[in-house]
Amino acid sequence: MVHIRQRSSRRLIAAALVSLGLVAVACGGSDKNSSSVTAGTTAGTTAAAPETTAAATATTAAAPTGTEAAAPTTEAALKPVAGGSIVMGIEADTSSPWRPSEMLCAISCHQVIRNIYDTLAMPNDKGVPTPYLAESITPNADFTQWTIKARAGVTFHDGTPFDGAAIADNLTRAKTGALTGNVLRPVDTITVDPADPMSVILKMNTPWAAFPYSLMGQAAYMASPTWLAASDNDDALKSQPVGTGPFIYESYVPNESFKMKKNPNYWNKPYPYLDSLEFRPIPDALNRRDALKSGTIDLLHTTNGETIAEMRDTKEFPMVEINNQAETGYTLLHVTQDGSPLQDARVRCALAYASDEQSIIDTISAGVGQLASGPFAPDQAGYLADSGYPLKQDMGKAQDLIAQYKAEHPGPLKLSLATTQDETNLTIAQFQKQWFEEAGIDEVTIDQIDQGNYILTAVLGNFQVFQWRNHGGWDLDQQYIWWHSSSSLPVGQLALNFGRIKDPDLDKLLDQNRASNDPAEKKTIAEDVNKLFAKQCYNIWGAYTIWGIPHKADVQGIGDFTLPDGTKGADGAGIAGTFPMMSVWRGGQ
Amino acid sequence: MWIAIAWLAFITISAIGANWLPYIKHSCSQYPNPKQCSTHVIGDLRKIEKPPAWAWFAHPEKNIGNGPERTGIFGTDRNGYDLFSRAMFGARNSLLIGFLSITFGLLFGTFFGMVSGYYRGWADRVIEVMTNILLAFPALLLAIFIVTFSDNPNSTSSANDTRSIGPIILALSILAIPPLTRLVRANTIMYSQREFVIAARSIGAPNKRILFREILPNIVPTLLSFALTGLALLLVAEGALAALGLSVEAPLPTWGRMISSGQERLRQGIWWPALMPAIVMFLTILCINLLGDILAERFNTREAIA
Amino acid sequence: MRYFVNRLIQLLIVIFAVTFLTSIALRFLPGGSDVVVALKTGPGTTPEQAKAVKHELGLDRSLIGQYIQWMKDFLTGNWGYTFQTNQSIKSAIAAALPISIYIMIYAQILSLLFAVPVAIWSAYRQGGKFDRIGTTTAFGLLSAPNYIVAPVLMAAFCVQRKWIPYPSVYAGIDDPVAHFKAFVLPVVTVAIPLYAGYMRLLRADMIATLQSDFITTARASGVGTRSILFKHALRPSLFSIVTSAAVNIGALVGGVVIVEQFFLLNGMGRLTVESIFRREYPTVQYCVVVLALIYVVVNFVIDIAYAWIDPRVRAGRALG
Repeated sequence: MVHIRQRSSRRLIAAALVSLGLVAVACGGSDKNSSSVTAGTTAGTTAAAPETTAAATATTAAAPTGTEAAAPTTEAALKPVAGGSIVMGIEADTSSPWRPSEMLCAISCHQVIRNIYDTLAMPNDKGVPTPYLAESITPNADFTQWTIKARAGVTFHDGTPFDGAAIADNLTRAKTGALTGNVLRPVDTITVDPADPMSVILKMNTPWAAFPYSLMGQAAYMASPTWLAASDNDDALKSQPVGTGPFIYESYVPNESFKMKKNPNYWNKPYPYLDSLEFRPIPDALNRRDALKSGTIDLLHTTNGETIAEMRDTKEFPMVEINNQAETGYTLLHVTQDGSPLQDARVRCALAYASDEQSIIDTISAGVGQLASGPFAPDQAGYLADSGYPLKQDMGKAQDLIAQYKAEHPGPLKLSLATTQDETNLTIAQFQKQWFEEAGIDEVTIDQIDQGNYILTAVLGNFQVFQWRNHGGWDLDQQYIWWHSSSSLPVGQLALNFGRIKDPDLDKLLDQNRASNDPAEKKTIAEDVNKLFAKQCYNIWGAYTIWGIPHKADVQGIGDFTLPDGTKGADGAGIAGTFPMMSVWRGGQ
Repeated sequence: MWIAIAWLAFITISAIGANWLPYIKHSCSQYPNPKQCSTHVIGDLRKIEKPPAWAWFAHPEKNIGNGPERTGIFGTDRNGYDLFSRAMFGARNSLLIGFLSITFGLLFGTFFGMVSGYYRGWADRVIEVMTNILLAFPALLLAIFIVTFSDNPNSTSSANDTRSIGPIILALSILAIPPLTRLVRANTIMYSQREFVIAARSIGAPNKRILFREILPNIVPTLLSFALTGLALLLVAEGALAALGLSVEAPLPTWGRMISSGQERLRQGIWWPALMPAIVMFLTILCINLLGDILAERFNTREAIA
Repeated sequence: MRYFVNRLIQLLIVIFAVTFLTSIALRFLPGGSDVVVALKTGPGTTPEQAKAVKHELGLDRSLIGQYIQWMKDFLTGNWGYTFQTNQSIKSAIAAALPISIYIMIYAQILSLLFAVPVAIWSAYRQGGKFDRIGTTTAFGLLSAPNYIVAPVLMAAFCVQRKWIPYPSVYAGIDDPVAHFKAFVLPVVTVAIPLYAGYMRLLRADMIATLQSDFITTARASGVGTRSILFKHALRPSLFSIVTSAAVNIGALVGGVVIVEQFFLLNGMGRLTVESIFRREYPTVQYCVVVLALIYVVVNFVIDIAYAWIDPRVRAGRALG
């Protein structure tokens, strides 16, 4: 008896020590990443110069380019050399086939696929859509008809010529897609110009002055009609995209890698420089960072505040930051759900007053990110430093508003917050829960949804409060599909207006902007939209997204490319957070 | 042996009394309405990710929030929650889940095992086949399947649309049933052939009575030791589910969830959110295993698991 | 012979049940088959598309009909494509299976390599210092779940010392160094509790055997220690450990999910779990069936092998 007791307690202690021993090995020294602040640290975080009105352009919003970490040697002095290959770590794999109208395309998807597909237009560094794959994009007098002319001498990777018929095929298919179809809703007919086989005529059912903005995104990816037809009946073929872009599809293994090789006959000489590209999805931000540090990948993109903060301090990996026409991180509210307290603006604004977003930025995001006052980032049309939205936490006001609401609506107030499985998002949700409960909501539950279902939940409207990121772009028109009541459908049906906003004032402003060609007028309209959102508190704004692109020192040319007409292209290349790889090259070290 | 019992007692008492015990920080009083403190532990932005007060060697790189540099018995996590309090509340949730799961497993396992072992014949065959079928599915995957698919993606959201504790207990119980059935069956067979059972039968005692009065009491000790080991395993399994994001609704703590959410920070050199609950969990499992082991030695169960 | 037939029938019944249950599982998911359809065709599904998908997946048939169609697909290798990425399910599983099998084999070898000698010596010098330390260590290791061990190992070897890249980059056998680096940490994580379990089993059995009469006789007749330990005592003691190891062959292939997930190795466990999360139901079905088949067939072979080696088993089973 005694023997057993002794043995057991010794066993207990010894066994515990064994495992602690493992721990000690791991934790020897709290060695963190070396932080050497160098002269080359970038200063691109804070608000860029306040927006300036465009001078000679047909549309709004000048866009100062994203800043670049100044490496000790000026990169402009180096000449690009051809050759080499690059492996990039991206945020996620795309769980859809690679056909333009069917892709559920988020940033990582665009980053990959825009090397295979060209878009009809691309933004220049002023944010103006400039014809890219198209030769010209011309409207008629009242913007009810647009003519797109295909660039001459371009062929798809499989040899199919690029012409008006190709554009027509792609746009017609785009009209049937879930996302792209909504974007192209004003398009009535698409026909090849009988007088010119290289041109396509689109008739709109409403004057659409801002149409070219939609030709910079997913709706305007041009895929080979031959391939599209062949893959209609062949599921396997759907994942082998054929476009006109600077790189040709080589192989795709889901969740592992997407490989592509140089297109030697690319029409936009002298691009591309690299011989081959590989994209590896690495969802975990820290894993991605470690992969770069260990040399497994050559560059990556990230929005993770800690990584960006760390990379800003590291000399070994210069970093480009893209924050123009940025997306905004925010919390979406479902505002027209039957029986939901969020139908009342007081409750919504109470949530806004209860939130202390700045401290989230300071703590969780390591200080990286600028507090958002509205859906528009500093270089987007409509940005206002003070839109009327409560930027500072005011718990007293929040409690007042809730008390008012409760006085009229007795009974427990309940809310559910939807978030992903990601730890950081959960941390934020937990803070939100605390704030909301302190403001007076009786019961806040957190609903963690796995990634595969997350978007579906939003699209179906099965949520009350939802963490999201969206609204990149330059022109207000690019947000039409997200906010107009025509995009709102009852819960259980798939709708792009996730929050089911049905606001006639908002609709009116959006429609006005769609038809307008006057930069000053558009600016005012966008600002009015901003103020409307602030007053109604439809969304709880977070921070403007910053994309950091740290890379090995010998990787050059990120975001530094020229459009066919000689003007400089915008860093974000029309889709927030992405950049074309065609201008990237290796060398110079 | 006694240390083990002492530790377990401490954990259990803390778990049950977490709401009132003075050494467990909780700030329900902060809210005007006591119903609102559903998390019981309040996050403090000034105290994010502070190492434990006694860990003189740990310095968080950036002193976020301008609070004290070290705080708490276990430190705080990314939400500013005090880890010790969370660990104690977590004890409640984890032990509850583990305990309920093993109990259900015991109930069903014993029932099937006894029926199978006593009556033999086709009941035995059927139960054996069903057990084998259940065992054929990889255990963890089965559990994941059950928990994930009790989530209906199409349901309209109300405040009750979150994961409840039920599917988790169901999944874990199902994991526990086959081995328990086997064990009980083997033991039942063994005891059914003993003299006192034959004697009871020959006086014409009804079967049910024999099962309950004669056989069951003999099986109980073996069951108990196995159940303890099983409890430990289920606690680990709950942690595994949590590691995959399939735990109870946030922010309710369970040990498994605390460990898995702390893992990510481990790579940044912030070790206490993961390792403190891990140590608590490890010690608890160790003690449970130890008790189970000692009981097993006492009752010499190895032969029974033929 | 009767025993063999008996086991075979059981095997077939189990296989039938497993495949039947998985094949009809699609119907009983919460949200019903509409969810499945929506996932396959994406937003904006027309009723015709929905009907076509339902037909393709066999959801519009009776239970038996669906099962037959499913079995036909399964046996002919026509496993279809994933909903969202249009990848061949067969090739996904074919790629994932070797990874899990590698982990299983390496972990078994590693754990047994250490467990057997330690157990033998511990049993021989029972109660001695080596034994005490060994048993205690094993007990401790047994109580440390792998989701604690894995991050500790990772922190030690990938973050602190950077010897091993993280996440693991999978490399085939043709690149031995990379292959080693990719697998060493996951294998160690898996092997640790395996080792503990095996060691305890073998030690207990060895102790029992060493106390039996024929060993005493052998010792009395002057047989050397080494011979006693390895030739005479080891063989009869191997029963439990071999059973356990054999069962683990099947169990490990699907059971190392956490480790695979943590180290980002696309083995069967990870594939299944990711498919569950993405609601890729067909993939889940095929994964589960493949894993179950492996487990069940391996167990069947073990049972038969035992019956063949040890006639008592045959007789014992037949009697009940």
